[in-house]
Parts: sequence; C-alpha cells; structure tokens
Amino acid sequence: MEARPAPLLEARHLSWRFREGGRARLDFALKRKEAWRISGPSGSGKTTLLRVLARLYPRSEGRLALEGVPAEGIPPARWRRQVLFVPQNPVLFDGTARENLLLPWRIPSRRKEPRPGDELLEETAARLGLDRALLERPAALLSGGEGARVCLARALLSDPEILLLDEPFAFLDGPAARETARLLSEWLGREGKALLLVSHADPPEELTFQGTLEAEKLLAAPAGEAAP
Amino acid sequence: MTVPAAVPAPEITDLKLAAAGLLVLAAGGVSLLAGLGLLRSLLVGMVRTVVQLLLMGFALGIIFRWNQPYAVAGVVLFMCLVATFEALQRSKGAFRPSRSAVFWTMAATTYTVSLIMCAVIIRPEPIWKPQVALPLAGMVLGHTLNVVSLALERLDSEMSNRLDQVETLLALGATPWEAAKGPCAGAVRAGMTPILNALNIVGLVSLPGVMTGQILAGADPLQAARYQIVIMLMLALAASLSSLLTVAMGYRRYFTGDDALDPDLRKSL
Repeated sequence: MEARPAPLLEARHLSWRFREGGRARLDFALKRKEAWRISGPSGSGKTTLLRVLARLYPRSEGRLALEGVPAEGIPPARWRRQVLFVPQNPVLFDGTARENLLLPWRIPSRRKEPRPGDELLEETAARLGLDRALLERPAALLSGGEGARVCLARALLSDPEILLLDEPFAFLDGPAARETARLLSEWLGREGKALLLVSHADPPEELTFQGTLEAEKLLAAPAGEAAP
Repeated sequence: MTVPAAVPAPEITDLKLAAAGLLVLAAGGVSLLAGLGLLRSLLVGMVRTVVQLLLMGFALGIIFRWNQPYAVAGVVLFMCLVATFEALQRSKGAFRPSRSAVFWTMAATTYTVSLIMCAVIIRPEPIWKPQVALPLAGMVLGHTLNVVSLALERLDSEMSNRLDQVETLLALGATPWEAAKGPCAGAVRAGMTPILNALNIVGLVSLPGVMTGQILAGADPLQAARYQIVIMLMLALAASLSSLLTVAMGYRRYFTGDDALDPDLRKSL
C-alpha cells in the first residue's frame, strides 16, 4: 500500500496565546496547490495566525510540520524561507525598488543562493504593474500600492513553498487586484506551492479557494472545530 | 628650551571646599526663586559628591599604603559592580540585558583596557602600581558606563522603531543577528559618538581631565598632553569594545527561543 504524502503544512492541536489571557487553537492541513482564505473581523487574530504559521509568533502547544517534518526539526530561518509571510503594510528598505526586490540575496546567509536573473525579475515586476523605470526609483518615493506590489514581487522571487499573505489586495485598485490574483493563481499551479491569504473584503474571482478559515472560531475553540 | 620646575597646586582646605559648596547653594537659591524644582536634586548631588569623593580619597590612601595587586583588582571589581547597578538603573526598558551581561561588559572592558595601558604603554613599576592603575581604571569605567547606557538606550529605540524591518528580514530567512544588524550598528554608533566628538574637539574647546589635573599639579604641559593622547586613544578602544559587547550580549533578548521577535516588543509600542 502506498503511503499518502504528508500535507505541505500541518497544524495539529496548535495553540498560541492571543490577547491578554486568551488562547487560539488550530487544526488544519494545507495541501499542495491549495489556497485558503482567512476571514474575520478586525482584531480577531488573522495576522497573528499567519505569524504563528511562519514561526514569527510563539506557539504554546501542539504540532506544526512542513511536509511531515516537525517545526522543531527545521531551523527557523530555513522554515521562513519556505513559509513566507508578507505583512499588510509594505516594508521597504533604503535603496531603489530593484534593490528591494533583491533584498533576500543581500542577507549574508542567503548570498550563496542563486538569485533571479534580470529577465525573471523584470517579468515578475511587470506582471504586477511595476515597469523598468519604476524599478530604478528610490523605494522611499513609491506609493503605498507600488510598495505593496514590490513586497509581493519580492516574496514571489524568493520562491517559497507557501505564501502567507496579509491583505494583499488592500492597496490595489480593481484591475491591479485582478491581475495580482491571476499571477498568484498561476504561481499556485506550479509544483508544490500553496497559499494562505487574509482578506477583509472578497478577493477577486481569478483566485479560487478550497475553503475559508474563520479566525474568530479559532479563539478558544475546541480541537477539530476549525479543521477543514 | 628649559621646562620650569613643577609647582604644586595650592592645597584645598576645608574652608575652600565650603566656599565651593556655597556657590552650589547660590545656584539652588536661584532655582528656588525661579520655581525650577532643582534645589533638592542639587543638594543631594552635592552631598553625594562630597561624601563619595572623600570616601574614595580615604580608601585610595589605604590602598596606596597597602600596595598589593589583589587590593587593586578588588577595588576595580567593586567599581564594576557599582557601575553595573548604575547602568541598569539608567536603562528602564523591558528588554534591558541581564545584570551579568552588563557586569561582564564593564569588567571585560575595564580590565582589558587598563591592563593594556599599564602593562604595555605606561609601564609603571610594578605594573599594578595603585597610583596609576586605579585612576586609569576609574576613568575607563566611568566612560564605559556612559557608553553602555547610551548603547542600551539606542538599541531599545532602534529595535522599536525598526520593528517591521527586523521582522521582514526574519520572514525572508535572516537569522536574528542578520535581522538586528541595523539596530545594533545604530546602538554601537550611539555609544561611540561622545568619544568620536571628543577626539575631534579635544584641546580646541576644552582641556580634558587628566591634562587639567596634571597641569594643576605642576607637570610639564607637553608631557600632560602626551598622557592625555594615550588616554583618549584608550577611551576610544574602551568605547568600541564596550559598545560591541553591549549589543552582542543585548540584542538576543528581543527574540524568542524560536528566533521570532518577542511579542512584547510590539505590545510596548
């Protein structure tokens, strides 16, 4: 009998502290090529959930595993390269937009990794509406929407297995949001990719979801309640 | 050119000390009249200065007569403990480093720099001669205390202000050290700023302490300048050593055991 492949990302009885004295709990398995949406009102812990999965927020109990390997067996930096969190507000560094796109390869421990060539970089940026002239502009002069697209392009170029996106459409108008959703859908079609996305409003139809996790149901929820 | 013979500075009698104290009281009177609320602080500061310095003068007299290397090392150790307490008092942040980290920073810097000065540069006979070693260690430690306080304060503010950048670097696969490198560099720069400024203006705007003291004691000004040069360079070494040690021992407290930013840092904003 052939063993079933482990889910790409798995959380079993995973809990974390949320707000004063509160606790959230998650049972969830994210498979390859799946996209899930996390919904819920402001302050219900959507962003914290993404941070927990990226190991950017401490978990209290339970199991978190990537392709069947427990989190404890994978160094945090390596985990985060595979499970990449992109916050809602764009975070840019000194330098041009292009330099910001290449930021991951300026991190000393990642310098030896192959960096994307100019062609791939410019093509990814162009799909997100960032033309060549804009890539040479100082990041400090970019608008909120341009900054958000630079951050998303940077994440895509970094080539993780799982993208955890916090409100990726918040700064984008209708056509830009649809094109971004189309690009994410194509990325998802590649081997071994998956996506978790927080969105307050309904995301564009170009991106289809396997289901929705409702953040408020995770708060002090008994095990299994939020399991897909 | 002949150098005039050293003329000892006039003695500071009790009456002269009292006269200097009266000047502070006059400043306190002005503060009282203007409603500045500084009188109490001035009085406490004045009393502490008189008591601490007289006690130190008394203790130094005993140590000088005793003339033992372990006594010198013991006094420096005591000074390091007091400086540790003072540095932690000044640093009120939730992420201030442990007492032992601050103590080791103070002690490693003070002993290393003082030893280099005594054993390699000034070379008194014996090298632990209390009259040389103790004032030098005191100067290095006083300077180190300021450097550590400045670096800790700046590390705290830089980590808070650049929280999102640090987290983004972590998210992109940086280690805590790589992610915190910017704030750490800012903290080292802040710790080094006073000595860098002093190196540029020394002798132009002010006569520094050692040179002033030696000239008051009747020493040759050129020899006093040479002493001061050595001390300024050693203080620069102490500043770089202590600010680097401060951030090296302090930055990790902003991260959890799983290399994530401590959630309390976000809450404290």
